[in-house]
Amino acid sequence: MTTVGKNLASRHAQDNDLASSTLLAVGSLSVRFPQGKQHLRAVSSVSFSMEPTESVAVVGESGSGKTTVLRAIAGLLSGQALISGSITLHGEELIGREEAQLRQLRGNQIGFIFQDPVNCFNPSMTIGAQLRRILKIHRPEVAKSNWDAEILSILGRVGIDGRGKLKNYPFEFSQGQLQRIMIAGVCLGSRPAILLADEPTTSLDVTTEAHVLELLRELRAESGMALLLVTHNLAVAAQICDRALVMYGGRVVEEASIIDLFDHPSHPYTRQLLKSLPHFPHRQGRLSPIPGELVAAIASEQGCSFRPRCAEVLGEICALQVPGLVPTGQLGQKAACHLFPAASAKGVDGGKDHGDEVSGGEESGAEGGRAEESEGACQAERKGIGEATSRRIGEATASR
Amino acid sequence: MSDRGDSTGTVAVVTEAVGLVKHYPISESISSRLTRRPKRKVHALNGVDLKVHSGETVGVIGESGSGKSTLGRLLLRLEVPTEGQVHFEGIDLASLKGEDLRRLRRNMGMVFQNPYSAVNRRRSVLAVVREPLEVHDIGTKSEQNLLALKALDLAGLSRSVAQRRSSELSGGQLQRVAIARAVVTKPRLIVADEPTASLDISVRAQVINLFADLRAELGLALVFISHDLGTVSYLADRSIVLYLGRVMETGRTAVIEREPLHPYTKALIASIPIPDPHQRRQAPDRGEIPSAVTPPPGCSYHPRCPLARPRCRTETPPLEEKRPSRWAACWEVPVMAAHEGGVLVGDPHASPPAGRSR
Ligand SMILES: Nc1ncnc2c1ncn2[C@@H]1O[C@H](COP(=O)(O)OP(=O)(O)OP(=O)(O)O)[C@@H](O)[C@H]1O
Ligand SMILES: Nc1ncnc2c1ncn2[C@@H]1O[C@H](COP(=O)(O)OP(=O)(O)OP(=O)(O)O)[C@@H](O)[C@H]1O
Ligand code: SF4
Ligand SMILES: [Mg+2]
Ligand SMILES: [Mg+2]
Repeated sequence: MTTVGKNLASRHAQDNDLASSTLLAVGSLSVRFPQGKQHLRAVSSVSFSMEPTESVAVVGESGSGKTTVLRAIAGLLSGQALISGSITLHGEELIGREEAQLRQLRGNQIGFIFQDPVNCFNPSMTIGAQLRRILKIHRPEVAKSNWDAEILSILGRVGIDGRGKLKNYPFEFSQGQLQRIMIAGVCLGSRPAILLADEPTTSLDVTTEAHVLELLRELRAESGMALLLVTHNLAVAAQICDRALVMYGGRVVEEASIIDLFDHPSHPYTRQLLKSLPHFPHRQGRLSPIPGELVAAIASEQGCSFRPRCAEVLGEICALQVPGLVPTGQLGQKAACHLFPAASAKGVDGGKDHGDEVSGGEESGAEGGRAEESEGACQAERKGIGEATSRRIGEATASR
Repeated sequence: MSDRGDSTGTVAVVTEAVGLVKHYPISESISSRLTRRPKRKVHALNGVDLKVHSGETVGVIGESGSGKSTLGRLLLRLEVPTEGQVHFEGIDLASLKGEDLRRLRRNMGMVFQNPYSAVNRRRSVLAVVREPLEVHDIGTKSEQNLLALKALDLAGLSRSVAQRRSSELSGGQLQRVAIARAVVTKPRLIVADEPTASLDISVRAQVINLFADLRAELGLALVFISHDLGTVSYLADRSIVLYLGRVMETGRTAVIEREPLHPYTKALIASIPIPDPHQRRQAPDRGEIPSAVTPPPGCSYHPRCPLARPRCRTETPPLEEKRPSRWAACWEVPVMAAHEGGVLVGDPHASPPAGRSR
């Protein structure tokens, strides 16, 4: 598929009218963690979709909710968090299912690589035993006598000479090696339709990182596996992803093809993030960090979360109204910022159910219908603000 | 003692390490004790020289396990070297004991990779920053508070943070607290071990700028450890590139990053992911890092080196001045004289860590 075609497809998929090709569709996903009497809104109204074989990066600052989105998709949040919205895999809804059903649905379709490889292995079992178990469960067609040969060949692919090491325990390997063994484990099982990878290279040194990225690239080329990669390193996203979601304060603030993201970033956060990247070889002068620090991950319920650090604040509207994620004009690119006036216009009458025409409308400012039922009052209040400020919106955009 | 290339002495040498070797014994498993194999050890550092001047930043670069942290600990004498010496402002640290060593230590600070484990998170920020002053018994209580507040200022933290508990701070703020704590005794040397690795890209930029400011303001000698040359290049005047406990290359950072001499440095640079989707590249150098228990004979990089020749497997290449003020340990990098390279010699900051040929 061409990039344009892909972008179009993913835009249409937003409304959950599942084109049969859509692999994963996330609609108005919100996740709250109970915290005393309150709730921490870690993820607010996140919507996106992925086609088979696509690789999508989730980038954003620490605490912006990247891991939480991934864990929600993998079904690893049950019992810890209040989840609303929809997550479908091949059109099947995952949210609200029984644990056993879920396991079956997810089955072999979702693979997960964690940031911290050490905790993914059983410390009291040899690496060989753990890899053999994967074969036993997922690949019954492989004869027992061929297990070790299969394991050694996969380990070779990840750059580890496994001869004589299968009887070693996890602590006898370095972190980089364990990270690669974890990926080998993913290849060893029946390859998943989608691999969720949470900062798979963040704890690695540059050479090991380069190998792991190469490996992910090869794997995808070979098996057509889709990849949803969480990272705060934009360079990593640039190297292996087709598309990116930029998160800030629990919301997606920009969605774009990876090329557009770098060539013409539209959200002020994305722009400042790109400016703060170190160059290599380094340029004269200082780095330009984004001023201020991420105050709290809690998605703001009023106004734009990025406002306190934003260099381009438009005026009161930024303090009063949550900007919706709307098209920027660039094909396939969306941003949640009042700089893009369509956002304000739609944000006011947002909160419609899924099934809105195309992109954006249903997940702007106020959150999507079903997800928001329990917060009806609060939503009404925000709508009120929206209406009250709609005139000022006009002023703000006019005065730019 | 180092002798080569050291200049007139206009810039004071703060720290000098000569021939540092550090071996760690391995706790043997029962099976290997039964087989009576000889006692094995980790060769963490194998003869490293380093010199840091006042106001200068030296980067220490290398893959995981190359010995960067070990070198940092030896420089501060948090550990005792197996061989070699560390001099701080001319004083051999091995000659100091107990109280004397403790007194000298107030002139040295350390910042660690993980601010969460380095800072006692139950105490107030002010208490955390004040602690080194208490330990070294510097000033009265109110003077200590003042100094601590000043250090917080220096680290770019507002005074309103002072009374908060460290547990309420973000990772970036916490790393600033750790830095304030490291500078509060006005040290002349700071060793920063991967101080930005756990931080977000935008916060990382803040912390790098902070180090640049501190160095300028305090005239610090700074040893900045990182596996990422991209980060080091913004701060370090000179860098040493470590591999399996040996210096592979050293010289001015700006020169190394643009024109690396050693195949290992080249591989490191080629591995840095480029933040540009138009420039995608393949990982170089697929090899594994050999075990530091049984480092390869000859050039320790030879099993991974694309240029390796038979000689590399048997003879260890010395760290030589291959170009004026540029040192590398590689048989395949020819030595070029000054007129060939066309670079001026005699820059005091470019003085080498006096590589020992062996
Ligand atoms: N199990 C949990 N219980 C309570 N709060 C949580 C839990 N998991 C995450 N959070 C909170 O939710 C917010 C989002 O966290 P998340 O881990 O998704 O961020 P992230 O973008 O992955 O950040 P990082 O880059 O630091 O990994 C944070 O404020 C975090 O403290
Ligand atoms: N206390 C110790 N006991 C035994 N071995 C050690 C000890 N400290 C370090 N080592 C070993 O010495 C070698 C060098 O370790 P060091 O921590 O200095 O590397 P590093 O370059 O800092 O790596 P990283 O980037 O992973 O921090 C490694 O092989 C390590 O396993
Ligand atoms: S000495 Fe030989 S093996 Fe070592 S880096 Fe040079 S060419 Fe490669
Ligand atoms: Mg995370
Ligand atoms: Mg280290």
